[in-house]
Amino acid sequence: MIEVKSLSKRFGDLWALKNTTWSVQDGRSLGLLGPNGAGKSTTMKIMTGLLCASEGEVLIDGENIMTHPILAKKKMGYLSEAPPLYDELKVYDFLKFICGLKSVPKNLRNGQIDLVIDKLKLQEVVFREISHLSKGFRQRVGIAQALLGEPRILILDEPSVGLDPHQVYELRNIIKDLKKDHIIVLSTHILSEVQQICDDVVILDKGEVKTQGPLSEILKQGRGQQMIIIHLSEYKEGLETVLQKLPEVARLELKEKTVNLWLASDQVPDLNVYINAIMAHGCGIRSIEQKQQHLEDVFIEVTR
Amino acid sequence: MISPIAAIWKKDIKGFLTQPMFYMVVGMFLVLLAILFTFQLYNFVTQSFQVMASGQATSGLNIYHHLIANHIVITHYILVFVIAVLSLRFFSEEKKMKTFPVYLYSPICSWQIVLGKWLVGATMVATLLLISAAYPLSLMFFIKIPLDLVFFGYLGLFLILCLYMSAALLASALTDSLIFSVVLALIFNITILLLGVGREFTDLEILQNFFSFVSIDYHFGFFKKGIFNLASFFYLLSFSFFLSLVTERIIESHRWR
Repeated sequence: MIEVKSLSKRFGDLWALKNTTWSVQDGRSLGLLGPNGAGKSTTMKIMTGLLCASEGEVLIDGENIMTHPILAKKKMGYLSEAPPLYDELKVYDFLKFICGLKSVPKNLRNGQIDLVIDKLKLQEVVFREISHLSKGFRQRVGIAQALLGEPRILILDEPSVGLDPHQVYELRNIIKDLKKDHIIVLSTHILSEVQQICDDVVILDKGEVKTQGPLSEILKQGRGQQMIIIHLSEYKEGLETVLQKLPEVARLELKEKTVNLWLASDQVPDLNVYINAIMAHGCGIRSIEQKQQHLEDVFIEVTR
Repeated sequence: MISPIAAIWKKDIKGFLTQPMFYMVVGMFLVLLAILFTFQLYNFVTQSFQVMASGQATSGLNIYHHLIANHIVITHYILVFVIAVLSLRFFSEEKKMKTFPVYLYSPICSWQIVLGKWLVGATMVATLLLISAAYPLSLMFFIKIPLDLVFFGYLGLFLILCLYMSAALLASALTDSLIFSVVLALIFNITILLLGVGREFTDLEILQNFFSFVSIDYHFGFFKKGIFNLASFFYLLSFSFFLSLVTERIIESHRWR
């Protein structure tokens, strides 16, 4: 379990983080979202012991990263935004070096290295110099080093940044696979990635937690989870009042002859209810679209 | 506890051995030493013949005092510069190449990082001294060499060079600029080399004694004469330890910024 309690970080006069509190339970994965400068990387750096918190604490399975850094760090693997790799080393030698740094017992080293090579599909580059690797393979080596020492927790700071769509797809599948037996904290700008991978979400903005909770709950926030767009052929005054009285309507917008309805339900809506109400009011319908609410919408709303 | 230190040592030694710069610097050191040793040997042989010819002695000059001790002193002066150049790999290059955070987020203590790097430096120093010692030892085929004196001379030099290496390690921890790291290491090393000069600028006996004691020459003098002075041994080791401790504090401070 990871607990971030009243965490604040100040750089000079600037508060990069202000009293942020959140946690990740065992068996869950958390997406840390926020625009640039929101404090995501700062949070991750504090969590991994690269930075010191100005106030508050981070507990990794009950171990405080500031007072018991070695114990806490043994429980987690970290992939930074640009993984620090030794270009002159071969992948295998680098992984062996990391095993040494993490004090992996000698008799377990080869086994662990083989396992991460297999998990991250590094077989073809294992004896290649890191300087000769593509960005995608470098990210995979970065994740491989994070997995050595068998940490329960993986902290991934923008793992997909700079990758082409194929590489993003492959990496996403790898992370999904890792989710089965790791607590994952993922920071990313790709919101669809969070929707596919994470169970919980924390949205940061200007160093503050704007919203947090299970992904399904977050999606319900703001305007609702389901959206219906109704294009009218004919409009009559008073339609807004009629629609607002219908079940599950959380919010509506009317622009010219288009009605946007946000429903506070994650169930498939019965469109007949809305069609009948509109027709009964004397309006005509040209077309209806149904849209799944995306995290993007919530993100834009809370960080506006 | 040992594992991270060994990992750093292995990685850095391998790093040194795959760097062209290492071979360039060592190559220059070898050539320079070879030229100077040949020159000294020529002088030694000439002077020995002159002494014997003049009838002042029957067996020529003492090879240790007139040749090997000078060779050790020359090795000392050259390595002050060589160590400063090689030391940039310790931390400055890691910072510049942005690989330094690997140490910070790994479950290791700062002292393990510094000790690992220090041992790399000590290994380099020992290797360079073995190369240097090969010159006088090669004379063993032709003349009897006082091995005990050579051993103590090189032991003293090893301790002094480890002190310079600790200062260079500190310089390297202070900056991510490679050039500035070398310049800073040179400034530190030359300052240590000239520590005893202060006695020339004071008439106070207590200060003169102080400067004499901190002087590298003073302590090196015992070892060069083949005397194992425990006070000198501990002085050089504790000075080295102090500088490494400062380096450890600087590395630790990176975590808490």
